[in-house]
Amino acid sequence: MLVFHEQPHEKVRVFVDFSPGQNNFKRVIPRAFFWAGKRYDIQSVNLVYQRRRGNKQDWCFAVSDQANAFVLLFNPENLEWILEEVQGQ
Amino acid sequence: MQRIILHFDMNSYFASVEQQANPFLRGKPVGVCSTMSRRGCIIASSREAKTFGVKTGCRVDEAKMLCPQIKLVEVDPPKYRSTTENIVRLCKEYTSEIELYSIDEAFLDFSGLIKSFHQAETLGQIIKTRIRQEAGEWLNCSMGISYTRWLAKFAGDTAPKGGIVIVNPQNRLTYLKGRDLQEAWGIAGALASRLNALNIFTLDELARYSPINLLEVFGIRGYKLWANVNGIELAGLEQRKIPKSIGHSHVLRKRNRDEKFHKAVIMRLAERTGRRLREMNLEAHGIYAFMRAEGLGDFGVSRKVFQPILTTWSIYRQVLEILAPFLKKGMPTFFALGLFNLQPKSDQLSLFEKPKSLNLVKALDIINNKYGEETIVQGDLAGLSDGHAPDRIGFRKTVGLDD
Ligand SMILES: [Mg+2]
Repeated sequence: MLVFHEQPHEKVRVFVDFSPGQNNFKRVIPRAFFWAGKRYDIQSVNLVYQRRRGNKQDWCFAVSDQANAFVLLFNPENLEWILEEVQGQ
Repeated sequence: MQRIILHFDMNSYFASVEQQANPFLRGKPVGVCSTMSRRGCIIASSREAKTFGVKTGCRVDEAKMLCPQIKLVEVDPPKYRSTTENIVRLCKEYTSEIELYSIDEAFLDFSGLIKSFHQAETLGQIIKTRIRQEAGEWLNCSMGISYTRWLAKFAGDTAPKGGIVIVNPQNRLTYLKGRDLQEAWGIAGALASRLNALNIFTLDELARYSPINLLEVFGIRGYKLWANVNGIELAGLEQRKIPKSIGHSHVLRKRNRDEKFHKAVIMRLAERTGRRLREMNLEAHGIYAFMRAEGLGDFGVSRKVFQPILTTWSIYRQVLEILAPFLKKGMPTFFALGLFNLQPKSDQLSLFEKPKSLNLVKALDIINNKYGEETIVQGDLAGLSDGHAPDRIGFRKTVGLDD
């Protein structure tokens, strides 16, 4: 069975909490985002990692709500948030 | 000073990182596959998938047969690499002597920093806890603590998943007792049968066997086997420090205007540089080329590049691009080329590739390593006689690939 998987690559509006945390998980915390007219409240930030784009690095936030897992990508060059991936159950 | 080395191995690493990223996958059989197609293969499987017999190397359709409910996700190297970096970063707070053995395995040398194996175990527990807190709560590892690198890895490899095993001089023989030879790091099928022929079936039998006999039968390799199980350090930590640059140069004995010959020399230098780059599992983001020509003086350029340089061909092509205008004008007497801004390959998956999927470049390196330098060479090297840009003494067979 394949995991239900979508790669929207869409710019999204994200509410983010910036905190002086000890590590990657706690410093930048996406709290909610809007996608396709719906608000998704993030329950947990599960993994924070970097992905190379040319010679630049984007930050990826693997997050989840009650029903789905998402990857939100933050581009530090243009300060844009992109919804990269949606994994359903 | 008591040497104290800790080895850790992340359990079902790629699959665990995927389960970390997506909590809906936790506790479920997960297969990380090379591509989603039916012919793709499983690169890593979760603990849950392993109970169904889904192993690394298994084809996707096979995996689905073994475990119809398996969740398949496509491999995503940046996730694993980034997570490994986080883990290594926190380990560096405890010792600067770290050998990253693979993307999910490392050795930490605590010698001189702590006094006992018991303290190492406490440190191990702290590191395990911090990995869960700071890299991801789903990430678990097995640890081995001992007084040589080999025994530490052996202890780690044989530790229960998520556990810590200490092998010290007192319990070493008891720990080895009755264990099959093939449980040991570096002893596989054929070697095991040859040892069996000497009536050695278990690791403690190997440890008690005469090292002289082993040396006679297997040469230095036999002695190494014996030393490893007896806690004699042979290797120490291999810290893979990344060099600032790698390159090769050559003074031309024959001076002429034969561009084909010059290109062949450059190709040979590029080939050597490329091989070293690949042996060290690095990629380059900078390249330089330099030449001296009679009457024209020196000419050289170094440049940074966005696209990682990985292959001999790309080195050759870029060096030629730099030197081309100059190559035509004078009579070259010296060439130098090299790479800088070196970093670990962004596709560290090569560590897990099965031989059948090795790419051509790597296959050529293996053949050359086995049968001698330049057994197989790139097209431009063919026809170049010996004595040009030699870096080793010995006989070389030169065979062209595409002439
Ligand atoms: Mg592992």
